[in-house]
Amino acid sequence: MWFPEGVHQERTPARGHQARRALGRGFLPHRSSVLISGISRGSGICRIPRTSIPHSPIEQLSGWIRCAYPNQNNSLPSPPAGTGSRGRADMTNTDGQLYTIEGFAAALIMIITAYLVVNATSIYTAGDTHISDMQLEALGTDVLQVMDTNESQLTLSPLRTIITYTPVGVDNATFGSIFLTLANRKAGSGMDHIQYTANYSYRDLTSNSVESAFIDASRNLTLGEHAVRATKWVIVNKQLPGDSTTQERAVLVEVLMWRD
Amino acid sequence: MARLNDDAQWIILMGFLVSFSFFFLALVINQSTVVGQTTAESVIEFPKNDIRDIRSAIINSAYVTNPDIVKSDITSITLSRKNAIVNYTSPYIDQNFHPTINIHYNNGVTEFNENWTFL
Repeated sequence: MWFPEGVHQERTPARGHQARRALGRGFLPHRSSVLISGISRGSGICRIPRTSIPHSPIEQLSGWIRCAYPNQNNSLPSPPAGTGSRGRADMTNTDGQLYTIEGFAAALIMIITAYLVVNATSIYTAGDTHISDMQLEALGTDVLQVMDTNESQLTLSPLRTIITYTPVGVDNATFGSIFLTLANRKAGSGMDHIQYTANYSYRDLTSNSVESAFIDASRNLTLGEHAVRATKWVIVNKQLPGDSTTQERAVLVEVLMWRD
Repeated sequence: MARLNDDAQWIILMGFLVSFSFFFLALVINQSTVVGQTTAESVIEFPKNDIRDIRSAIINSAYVTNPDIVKSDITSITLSRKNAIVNYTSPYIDQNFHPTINIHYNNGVTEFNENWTFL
């Protein structure tokens, strides 16, 4: 702490009009110490006649009252160089605030940058989950497309054969073996683990409502699967429920697929 | 009452700046997790395979013995199972003497119309 020569001092808690009121009573009551030539000469309650304090330096001190004995020149000594623009002691100097803030900002920027760099490759967003869904749906559509391709004009495709010659609602394991073979085959010797449940929708001519007929399933649905649906239109020559005769009908084959 | 102390205004101002920038950064990070979701959804919702599939079924239905029943099958099953409205004409001879089918598809988002012609 800096104490001006011959001044006893410092930092009264009285501020503003509180200080002025204290001055109006003619003295500043606070605990002070007296220093002369840098050596403490004692301390006690400081009582200063109002008239002995020059008015203008108090105004300039903006908040903190300096309780001073007038020196021989009857004026407050000016603060020495190096104590900051506000004339305070170095401990409460505000000169470095901007550099401190700059340091904090730089530290934050560096930490955030490092955080982003470290995490950039590992963020798995909600949109990414749809990519595998899209791939699975495309795979299922392709499998059904392949299953509905006939070898020649004279033969029905496997899918049409299954739907045409299997009674409505009866499980047909041939569908499963073809479908799983096509869907689960991977490069190399390993197999994928896609599961499915398949049925087809037809229109009941009597009630004119759309009904569903089971084909085959590799697993029972537990409603916990994250399944996608692949569909295929097939025109089959078949007597569906509600039909009076065998005729060509359009049915929609629907396969729910998921990985487990 | 003490006079208002105006020291350290810079610190308060910078505190505001930092907190606001944190807020916007959090907003950006929050939104970044859903970036691509609508893109992927719109791709997965785009009925490319549905349109190709139903188009081929409609064209094949021109060869069946009773096209009206198949047409009712396609329109009603599409409406109930695929949430799309489909309509198409029976094959007719257009002005260039080509058999033609007009196909209309609409699932509420994607609309597809085609004049398919036997050449």
